[in-house]
Amino acid sequence: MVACFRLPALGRLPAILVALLLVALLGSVAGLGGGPDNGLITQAVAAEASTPPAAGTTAGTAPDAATPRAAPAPQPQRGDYPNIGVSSRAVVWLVAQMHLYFAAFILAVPLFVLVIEWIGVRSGDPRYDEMAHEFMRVSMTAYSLTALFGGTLALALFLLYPQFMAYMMRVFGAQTLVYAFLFFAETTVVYTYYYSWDALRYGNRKWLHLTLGLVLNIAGTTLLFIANSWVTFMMAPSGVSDTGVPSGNIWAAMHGPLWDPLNLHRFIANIAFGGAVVGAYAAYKFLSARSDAERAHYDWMGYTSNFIAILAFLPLPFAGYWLMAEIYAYSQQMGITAMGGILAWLFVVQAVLIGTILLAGNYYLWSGMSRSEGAGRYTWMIKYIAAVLVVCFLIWVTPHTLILSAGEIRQLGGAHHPLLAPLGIMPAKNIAVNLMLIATFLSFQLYRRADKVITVSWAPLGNALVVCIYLFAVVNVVFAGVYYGYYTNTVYKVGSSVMQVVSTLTVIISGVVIDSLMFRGARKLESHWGQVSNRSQYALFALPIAFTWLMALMGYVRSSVRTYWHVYTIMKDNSPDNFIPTIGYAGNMMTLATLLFLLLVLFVFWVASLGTTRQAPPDGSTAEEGAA
Amino acid sequence: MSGQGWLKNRLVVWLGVLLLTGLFFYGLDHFIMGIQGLPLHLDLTPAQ
Repeated sequence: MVACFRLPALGRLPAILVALLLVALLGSVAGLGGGPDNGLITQAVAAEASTPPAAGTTAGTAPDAATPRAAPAPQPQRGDYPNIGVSSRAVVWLVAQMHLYFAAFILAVPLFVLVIEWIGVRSGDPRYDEMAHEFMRVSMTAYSLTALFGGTLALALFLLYPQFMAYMMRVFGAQTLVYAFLFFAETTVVYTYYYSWDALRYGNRKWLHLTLGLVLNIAGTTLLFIANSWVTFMMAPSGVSDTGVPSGNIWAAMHGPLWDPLNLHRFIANIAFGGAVVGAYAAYKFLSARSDAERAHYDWMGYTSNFIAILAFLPLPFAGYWLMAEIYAYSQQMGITAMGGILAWLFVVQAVLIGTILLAGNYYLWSGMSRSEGAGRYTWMIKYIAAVLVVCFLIWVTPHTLILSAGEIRQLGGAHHPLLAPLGIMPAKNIAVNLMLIATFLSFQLYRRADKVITVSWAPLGNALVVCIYLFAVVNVVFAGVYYGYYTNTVYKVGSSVMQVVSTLTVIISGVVIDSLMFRGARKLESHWGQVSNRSQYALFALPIAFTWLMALMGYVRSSVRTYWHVYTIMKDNSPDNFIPTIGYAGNMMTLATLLFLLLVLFVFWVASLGTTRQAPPDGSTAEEGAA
Repeated sequence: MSGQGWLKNRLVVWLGVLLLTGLFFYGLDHFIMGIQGLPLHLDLTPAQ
């Protein structure tokens, strides 16, 4: 019946559908900024808040508060926190981390799936469509897990931190219902999008399918931004008075000083993370493939995943830099807690993890060049790129201040190493990070050129331009780091880091643009998909492991900078866990979360494979009998 | 040199591109520092 159903004149329908949904979404968001009464949930919370506090608590309203909404933030005491026998923070930490992992994954996959599907439509190559469909299949099981962890997180928070949650409900009011509505919308659309893939495959129906994908991504990204507003409110509250009285404008509470950078940072990071996880799926399928066709398919899928992960990862440090700069701008104390105190050592661990990601990503690209017959033109450069990566990696992981005994300080001649200490400060790190990103982009560019012979008449000009941009960008990054970083005052040191970032971005953006123009009419050399080494596939496994650990690490840093506050400077955390945990304890928690996620990801991969596995019928029976 | 004939002279191409790219990054440095209120002298030393 579905096949017989005709959809006449669908040309404008996708645009109309998108317009209607956007209007609905905007209407919902616009409703957030209302006055003192924002709907049922607010009334319910207000009624709850108006109840006199239980004996022994200090939570409640100010004596002169006219309405419950105008009450300051509650200040719960130690006895107000339920004790369930295990650390409440550990429970919430683990569950929140798992929810975040899966949410990041399921929000990211549809973003690049939509792009791949679109490329399939534009190119007319059905392989893109099939690959996009398979990416979605991997993420479908993860949807349920995201919802399960999300529900568990909400219950755990309401059980273990009831007064904090009541306050958050009071501040964000009806926005929480919008969030729930979007969750319903996303779930409905994602199942429709996935299960209608074959029913809406060609012609106008395909446009309807692409529209569903667009709506899915709008809903998912809005969900992400709303959830981000809660964590940035906890770090840098806005839209409330000094004592935490909500102004009634939810938009003001949402749009705090850290919201924009966190939105950008998480949006990009999710894409890199999602690409890395599906890359591991492709590697898993590649290594277990039994035919050349299967190996070729999953090799291509792994390549695409790595492409997505690395391309999204390249601008990520800059988004992180912006976030940290805004944290410093909001509260220097918070910034110093993150990068100058106990947590500073974690940035050395971060360097190790990011170095792992870059080395693994580069190694995969170099291995992948062996697929193409034209790669021999560029392989001589690999050793130099590797040398740059290794030297920069070593500079990045060099700590500034060592934890030393008195004897060690005597041996060293001071608290800092006489030669290596200059490499421990930010200017050296900035040079190292930017050069590693430029080197990674060079690997990426060489990989893309390996299977092509450029035929445009202005090829010498284009090549000269590309080489000169690399040359001056490297000179600029080193000059800005050394001269402004070590020989001028701090203001110039910070300001010049923007020069470095822009230089690196110039390389990336101009490289993509110039190559796109130069590839017009290029002669394609044969690529032998499936002939890549098995060893390269382990690089695809390394990427999601490092990404997962990195997310746990930086999430811990971001959350810990609040120190003993639920909501920074407004609502104190008086629970038994109101301190920054030791690095060793935090390391164990991060490792536990990473292992748990990887185990569940294996389950997701297995379920995705199970959907395409069919048992062979017993001997002597037909397939139909076997199925019956 | 007529039409795109100059494109065939590698030396001209490389010198031209080298000069233009150098000027671009030089201008970029001034622009980026300038918008942050940190102007530079012609030799790229900080202007007080």
